[in-house]
This record gives sequence, structure tokens and C-alpha cells, in this order.
Amino acid sequence: MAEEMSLSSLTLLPRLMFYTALAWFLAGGAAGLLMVLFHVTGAAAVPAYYEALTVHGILMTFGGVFQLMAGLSLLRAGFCYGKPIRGLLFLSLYLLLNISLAMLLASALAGVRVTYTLMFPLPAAGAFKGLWSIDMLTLFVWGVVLLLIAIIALYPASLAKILFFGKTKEQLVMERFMGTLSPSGMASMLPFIFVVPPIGAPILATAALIGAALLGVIPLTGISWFLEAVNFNYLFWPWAHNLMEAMGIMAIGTVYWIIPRYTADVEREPRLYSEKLGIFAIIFYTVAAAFAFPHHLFTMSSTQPIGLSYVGQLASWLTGFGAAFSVFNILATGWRYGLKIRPASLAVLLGFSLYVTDGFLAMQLGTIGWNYRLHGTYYVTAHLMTILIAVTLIWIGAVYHHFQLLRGRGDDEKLSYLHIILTTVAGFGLMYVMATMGVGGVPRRAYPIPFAADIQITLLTAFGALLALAQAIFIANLVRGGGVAAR
Amino acid sequence: MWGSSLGALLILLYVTSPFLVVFFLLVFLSVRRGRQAEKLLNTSKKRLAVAEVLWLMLVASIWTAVNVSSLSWIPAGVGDPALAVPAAGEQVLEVEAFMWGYNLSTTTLEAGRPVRVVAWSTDTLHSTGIYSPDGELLVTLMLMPGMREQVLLTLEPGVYTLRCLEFCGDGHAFMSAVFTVAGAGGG
Repeated sequence: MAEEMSLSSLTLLPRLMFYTALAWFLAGGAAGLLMVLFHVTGAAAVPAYYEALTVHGILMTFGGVFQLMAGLSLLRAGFCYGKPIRGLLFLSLYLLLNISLAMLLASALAGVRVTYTLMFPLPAAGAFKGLWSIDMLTLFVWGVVLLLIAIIALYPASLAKILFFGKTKEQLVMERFMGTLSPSGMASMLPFIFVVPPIGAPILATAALIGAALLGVIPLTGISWFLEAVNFNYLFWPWAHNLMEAMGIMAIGTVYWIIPRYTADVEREPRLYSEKLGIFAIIFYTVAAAFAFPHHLFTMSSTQPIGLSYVGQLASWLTGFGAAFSVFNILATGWRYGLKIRPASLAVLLGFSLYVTDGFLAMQLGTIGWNYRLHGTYYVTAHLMTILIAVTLIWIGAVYHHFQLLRGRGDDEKLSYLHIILTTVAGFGLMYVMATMGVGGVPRRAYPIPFAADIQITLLTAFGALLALAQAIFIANLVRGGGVAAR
Repeated sequence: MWGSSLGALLILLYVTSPFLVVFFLLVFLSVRRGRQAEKLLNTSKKRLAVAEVLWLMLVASIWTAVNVSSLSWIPAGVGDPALAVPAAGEQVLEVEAFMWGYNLSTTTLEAGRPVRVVAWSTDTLHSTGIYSPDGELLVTLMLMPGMREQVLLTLEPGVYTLRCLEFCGDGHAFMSAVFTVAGAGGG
């Protein structure tokens, strides 16, 4: 009985986060399908499209992808280090994250149509233009503040608490960790603990100041420096970029963790082909990514230092080396020890292949010469959509690995394979179609699309429907499952 | 050619297609090897080490080739200190971006003379993508309020379109303008 309670102290909150992420995925996915439908029919009023766009971005990225990652990473850290995931800190993370999302959703539905990337100073410019009310803008800004607190402070603190504090409870150790950074997947959590908070703190403070000014607590004139578009964005871009990179690194860590557990050589301890190379790749990737944010400045070369742009290009391409180390390590692990294909390993491998493919596309956007001809087009959308689908697919692999733990029974493997394969086909399809649109100069986030793009829209609709179908199969699998037999 | 947007797509396909084929082939072979224990026991660590070096050399080659080549893909007049000095015989096209349109200082320019495009935003983040008469995106400038971006272009005769490529609110898709570059004969 005591052990059962202990297990629930490990799994309760991650399960809650997993199910909540699914709910946000469903809502955000529905908004995404609406956007496709609007493009096909051309029936929607423009504001309705941009409300759907804003809702889609916020819910999928933070409600879905971030929350899924947070829940699964806490679960993994918890059972590797034998620490319960309960208490005020973890509960605050869950509550604040979802309260902030509810606030952002409410303000977006009330008209604050700014996309999930803010496009500062659009929130203020739109309010001055009367597109949305100051009240709704205030709600939106405070939603952002709470979201930032959850991402920048509470999640890293939660990870740090598990990794560095408290005593190990042996009955909670389900996969023994060996040494400080082993399994090397655990090293992937360090950027979230040590990089995201310091880079995110300035933008959190800025958002809080703007929120306070909107409430009248401090005068707007007192924070005029922060309201300058260039100052705000110099604080925002490094954070936004490194958040995405930290999520990517967390996904790579998941690959490092899952694949060694699905090798044919069951006698040996699960290890990568080279643990050292794995850790080196994560450090290399983290350092390179920290300097890659100036790619946001490429098309502002008259006013921003061109040297920063070159640093941005070189650093963006250096992240590719981090990925190259990982590609070799994963394939060498499979070659050296043999691979077993199960839903977990298949999802991780396919998600990883999508991740690396998209990584090359991202490096193209991180190239000054190409960026001048692709920035702001669907080529960028192709990258953003694909990276989020890829990391989600990798974490879906973790879900299949934990299916028994999360659902209390096994999955239906046929449904699992179908879900994974359809998601992958849809992911690659969306990426290449969007890249083609980008090459045609089609502006992203434009409704209606000011170009003849019927064929591409038809293909996007088909792949979007396939993606939706795949997730419906996943839900059916979660609901129905495959009985109690563990793999 | 390779520095154009089409070049980007072709290189994407040339790099990612063989990568995916080899990746899945190796996964397939690794699954097969997993069923043959003796093969796993006989895996040569030396061969894997050689493969690692070859793989990293291939990546480094692509890295170097693209990064060196890309220096020549940067549009002329971008990030060039000489841009501060007016070019001989240059024309100036001033572009004021606002929610949701552009004010142009002129809509007719002459072919054969350099065009200095100077653009800025009066309200929020915009950009101006300059599309050639056949619809190719030649260059895009991000317009941050308070900043004036410029680029020096040499344009062929035809009708060019400016289009916003940074989301700027409800009218984003409609934010465009055209200007004409007339040939020496006026057409």
C-alpha cells in the first residue's frame, strides 16, 4: 500500500500534465484545422483567422509541446533519481502554466490577435489603433508574465530540485542513474536549469514592468526604454531562441535515453555507443545555440552590427555539428548493439530523422544570403511547424515507453505504429510543401494568401488532415489501449 | 543560382534526401543485425571509429562549402560600409510602412541606375519584401520602428511589388504596393 502511494507521488502530477497537454493539443489542433479550412473556403473574416492563428500557436507550443515535455521530463528525472514529484513547487508550476494559458486564450478570443511570438510592439500598436481593448491587452500581458514565471523559474527549479536536492527514495527508482550525467539524457536537462533562467530573467522583468504600467502601478513614461521596439526585442529574441533550443536539446536527451533501452543486446546495461560523445554533443549544442540568436538581425543590416549577423550564421551552423554528433551516436548505438523496433523506439527514431532534416532547413534560414530571400515566408513556417512536430514525436516515443505507467495498461501496438507512421508522413509532407511555398515567396501568417497557391493549399489540407487522423488514432489508443499485458 | 530561394530548396532536397535514405537503411540493417547475435559480437570498433571520422568530415565539408559560398549570396549593397556613400547616379526610393500600407516617394524609377531603397516603419514591426516582375522575392528588409533600413539594388525594367512579410495585424496580407522600373525608352 505504501509503495502504491509512493508510485502515485511520482506519477500523479506528470500524468495530470500529460492529460492537460493533450487537452490543449486538441484545442490548438482544432484551431489549426480551422485555419486550413479558412484557407480552403476563404469564408472566414480576417480577424477570425488571426484569432485562430494566435490560439493555435499559444496552445500548441506552450499548452501542448512545452507541457508534454515538462511532465515527461519530471517523470523521467523523478524515477531516475528516486524523488517524488509533489509539493508546492510542482503544483505551482502546473497551476501557473495552465492559468496563464487560460488568460492568453481568453485575451486572444477577445481580440488580442498578435500570434504567440508577440511581434512587439504589435500588442501596443493594436491597442492604440483600437483593434483590441487595453483591458484585454492587460490580461494578455499578465498571461505572458505568468507563463514566463512558469517556464523561466518554476520548471527549471522543479528540475533542479529533483536533480540536486532531497534524498533518493529507493522504491521510486525505476531506472538507476549512473554518475552525475548518466544516463546522458539527463545532461539535456541542464540547459533548462542553467541557461534558460538567466537569459529569460530580463524579458520576465520587462513583461512584469509593462504589466505593472498597464495596471497603473508605475507610470508608462518610467519604462519607456523597455517599450522601444529594438530594446524589447533584443531582450526577447535571445530568450525565445534559447527556449526553443533548450526544448530541442531536451528532445535529443530523450533520444539518448530511449534508444539504448531498445537495443537487441539485452544483457548489457543500456548505454549509448559513446556516452562521452553524447555529453559533448549536448554541451557543444548548448554553447553554439546560445550565440545563434542574431539570425533575427540578418535583414536589419543597415542598423545592426553586421558582425553580429556573421556570429549568428556561424553559431547556427555550429549547432549542426551538435546534431551530427548525435546522428552518429544514435546510428552507431543501433549498429553496435542491434535495434528493436517498438512503438517507443520507432517514434523516437522517426521524430529524430524529422528533427535532423528540419535542422538543415533551419541552418539554411540561419544563412544570411538565403535569409534575405526566405525570411518571413512559409519557409520559416516550415521550420517552426516541423521542429515542434519532431520534438513532440520524440516525446510521444517517451509516452509509448511509459504507456503502462501513464495509463495503467499496455497500448494497442497496431494503433501505435499507425499513429507514429501517419504523424511522420504528415510531418515530412507539411515541411516540404511549406518549404516550396516559401521558395515561391508566399508570406507566412497572411490571410488570405495573396498568391495563387491552390495546389499547395490542397496538399497542406491533405497533410493536415492526415496529422489530425493520426492524433485521433492516438486518442483511441489511449482510451482503448491493448489490455494489461506489459511489453 | 544556389543562393536563390530555388537554390535553397534544391540544396535542401539534395542534402536531406540522401541523408534520409542512408538513415533509414542503417536503421533497417541495425534491426536485422539485432536478430543475429554473432554479428553484434563481431562488430569492429575500429570501423565505427573510421565511420565517425568520415561522417564528421562530410558534415564539415558541407558546412564549409555552404558557409564560404554563402558570402557571395548576400545581396549586393547589404552590410556594405560603402552603402553610406551615395552611388554615382543613384535614385532613391523611400518606403514608409504603416498599418497597413506603404507610402512611396515615387512609383517610377529608371532602369540602368542604382536604386537605393530606404524603408522605415511608423507604428509596429513590418518588413518590405521586394518581388521582381516575375514574382521572385529579391530581398526583404525588416522594419523596426525607429530604424531606417536601406539596400542598394540594380533593377531590370518591369513592375515590382512590395509586400509585408512580418505579421502586423489584420491587414497584413493586404499590405502591398507596386513601383515601375522603366527602360531607357520609357517602357
